[in-house]
Amino acid sequence: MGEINVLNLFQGVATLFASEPKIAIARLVLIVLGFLLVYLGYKKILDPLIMLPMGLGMASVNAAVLFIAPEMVAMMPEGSGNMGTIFVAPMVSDPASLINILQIDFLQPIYTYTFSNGLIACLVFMGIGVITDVGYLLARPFASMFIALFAELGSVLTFPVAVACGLTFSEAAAISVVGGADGPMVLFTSLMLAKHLFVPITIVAYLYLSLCYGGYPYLIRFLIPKKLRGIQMDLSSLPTVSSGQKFAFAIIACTVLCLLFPVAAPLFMSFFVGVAVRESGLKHFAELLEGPVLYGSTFFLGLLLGVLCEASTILDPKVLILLFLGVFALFFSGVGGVIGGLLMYFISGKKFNPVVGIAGVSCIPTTSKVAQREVTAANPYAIVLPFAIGCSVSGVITSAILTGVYITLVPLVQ
Amino acid sequence: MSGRSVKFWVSGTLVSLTGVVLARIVAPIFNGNSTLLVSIYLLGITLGLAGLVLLTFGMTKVYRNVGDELEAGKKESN
Repeated sequence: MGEINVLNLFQGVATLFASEPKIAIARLVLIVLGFLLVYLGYKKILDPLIMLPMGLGMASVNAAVLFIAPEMVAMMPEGSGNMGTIFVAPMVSDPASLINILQIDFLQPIYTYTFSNGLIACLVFMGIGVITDVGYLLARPFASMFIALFAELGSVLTFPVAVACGLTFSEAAAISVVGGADGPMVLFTSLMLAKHLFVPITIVAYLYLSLCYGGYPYLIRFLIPKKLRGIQMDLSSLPTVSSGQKFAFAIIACTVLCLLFPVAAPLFMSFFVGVAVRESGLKHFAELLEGPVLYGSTFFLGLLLGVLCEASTILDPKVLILLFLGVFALFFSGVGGVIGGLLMYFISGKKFNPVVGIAGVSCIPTTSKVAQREVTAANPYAIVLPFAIGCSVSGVITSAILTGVYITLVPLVQ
Repeated sequence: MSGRSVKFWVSGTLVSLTGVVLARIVAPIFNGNSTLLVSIYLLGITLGLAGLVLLTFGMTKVYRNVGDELEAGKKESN
């Protein structure tokens, strides 16, 4: 009987000792971070829909590193070493290797067929389309669009800052879209413009989007006095629009936006097909899209983002810059939204609650809920949610437009 | 739908389509001159979006009387 190396029986631990110290430390840190995300999601401090699968995925993938067989090492990209996981191999591009990996890594089929081509982003958008009532936008188009444009401040300001930090135009545009606070949009843009960075950019984006939930209330309290936060808005000033008109608007807007931005057309089509399904009263389609499609996609998106958080990916020196730029983009988008809200307050003769401005950041429906929560805390009788949802819907559209502008213009000018 | 509404729908759609023509057909003609290309492209996008906003003014909006609704709600609960 040969000698047994006990560590080989517990490869998750053995690979910690066999790898470089910085990789081992990063793995341990990511496992702890995974626990933290699960805890914060469980406690509903961060968005549990993304954080639970993401945190668990992150902890598992960094714990489950093993020594891989030499024939499998040959399939991996150069420099991968003899350690890896059987979760997913994001950087495999050789078709023959990919076919083999698809039969080994259990999340590879979902990654290859839905994540790396942007399909999962489009599925999430279909679901968002179904749960979105564009009537709130159509009822007050000027106020909604005005605020949504201001809430793109972060997406616009981040671009020159990112270029100054040494990123290329494509990389800068991809990270700038984080300011739109729209996860699927970030995923789509980074796939189009900076495919080599799309894993870290998407991880940064989703990590921060959850922080919007916890961070924006402080921004609101800091920038808007309590007296203004409690302003009661006149709900009777918000008209209703018929389903037929909303449907017609969705069809025309989708066609015009697809004609203007063919590269972002999958996102526009996905969003407006959801709106069209909702307004045409196709109950079974609506139930499919807002239930299994939206929640199924969100679940697998979270899980994949978690398992993509491997130590080697996070140790890329560009990740530190991306972390800074992500915070920068979301902070200035929030500030821009609040500035837009304050301007609307003055334009409307002090009848508009400026907190609604934060909802221009298109993290639908999170920012609308944040706005209502903050308003309720200041005045329990004030309702701003319908106005806030109108701004969030406009935010989705303006983010998609800015995405289209970046994807179309950046390859032309660089 | 009133005649005034139809005017907004038609003019909004036409303005949007003019924007599309500028951004997608006219702008690429100036391929060698990036300043002109980007300017016309952005003008086209602005027109396209302005057309969509113009179109929304053609919506027939029904204003609710919140006071009556609250009264109705109270009566129902009684």
